[in-house]
Amino acid sequence: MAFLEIENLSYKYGHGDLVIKNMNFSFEAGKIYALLGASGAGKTTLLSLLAGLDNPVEGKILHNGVELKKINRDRYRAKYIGMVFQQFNLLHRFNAIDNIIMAMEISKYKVENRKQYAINLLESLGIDEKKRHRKVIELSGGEQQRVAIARALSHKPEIILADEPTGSLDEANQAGIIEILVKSAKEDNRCIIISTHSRDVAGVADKIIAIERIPYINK
Amino acid sequence: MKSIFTGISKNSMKNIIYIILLIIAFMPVSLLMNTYFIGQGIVSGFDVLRESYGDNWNLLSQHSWLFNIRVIILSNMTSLVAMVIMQIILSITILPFLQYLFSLSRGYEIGVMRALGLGKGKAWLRLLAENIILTSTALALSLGLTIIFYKSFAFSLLGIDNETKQILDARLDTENMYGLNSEALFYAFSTAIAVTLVSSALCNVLISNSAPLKLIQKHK
Repeated sequence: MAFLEIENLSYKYGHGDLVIKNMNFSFEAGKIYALLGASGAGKTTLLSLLAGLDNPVEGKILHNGVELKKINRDRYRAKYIGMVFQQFNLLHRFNAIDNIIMAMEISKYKVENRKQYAINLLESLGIDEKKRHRKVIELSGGEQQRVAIARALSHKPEIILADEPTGSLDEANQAGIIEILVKSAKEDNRCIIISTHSRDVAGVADKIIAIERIPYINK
Repeated sequence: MKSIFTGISKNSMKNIIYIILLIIAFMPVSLLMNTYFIGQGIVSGFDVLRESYGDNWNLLSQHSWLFNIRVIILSNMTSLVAMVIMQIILSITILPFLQYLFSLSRGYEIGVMRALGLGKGKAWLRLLAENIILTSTALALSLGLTIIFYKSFAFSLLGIDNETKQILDARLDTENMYGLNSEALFYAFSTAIAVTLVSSALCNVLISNSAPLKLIQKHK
């Protein structure tokens, strides 16, 4: 059943041309969606709109049938959205554990021991003890990406929005990240929406959404 | 609350610089205000001395500092008002600028936290809480440094050398005259605290109301 829908969605920056025009789509739980398109086609913009970080110029985004405009979008992001940014956007001076604890505090996700929970999560994503205590800026791109994914998964959101999560990674790291995302969708019944250039990532998606100036859909 | 302290400790170097800048902004006026009150004490003490010296007045007047003090300090309310105006001008020009820099330096972190779902109000409160903790630290240090240095600062500005001090010490009750003045501290720090809090609150509105992605991109 669709729990995130976009209806006649259009977006443009300032007075420029429309980046997204009359887009319609429904997203379901437990499925992976790949947004494919050239740079500048509007993939990141679409993810930002789905996260409630920006407002469409026309059309609606509905979460569980309620328009995003009408709900508290901070709360929506904190509770339902896990965001993996292209540039990771981690808190640079914090270590991996503190980055995750901070996200859990913002989302008010309750567990008995937040630190232990963060450690377990990072361990499951292959960040060893030594690296967990380093400032994230001292970690490699692949490791930072894993921390960003751990942060996005930490509060068990319904939806993961991942902006080119494998963009700056080598093949081995790419495969690892893809595996984590697939597992998350199938085992935890999450909706994963990934913007990507990678055919490998697109290959594991249940649906591919080709983003051009006027979008069309391949099933 | 714990996360606020985590945030402060993770930005320790930036915060140390911020605290030093605040101390530099807080201290001059508190030192000057104390100098004003010490000067007033000395001048009134000097009047007592002049009466008792009588014909020997010239002996004391060789110490030209007394005349300087008269000119600078003893215009009574006018100079006090001038001090307070200087305090307000210094506070209004320097402190909001420091607050603005502080808020900007937190832009990226606040942007990331807002993108993760931190509300505008909570972002504002977080910045204010961080700032109150840092400002309190700077104030406590400024007060400590004022207590340590106010006397030597006042003596050097008023031109009181050891010889003069000995004359005053021998003839007058200088313990109270040289004492730290609570009124001076009140004038100096209350204005600074008020300006800091108001400007911090306003600058934080700018940051916490900005779109999260803009904050992140701006501070990358």
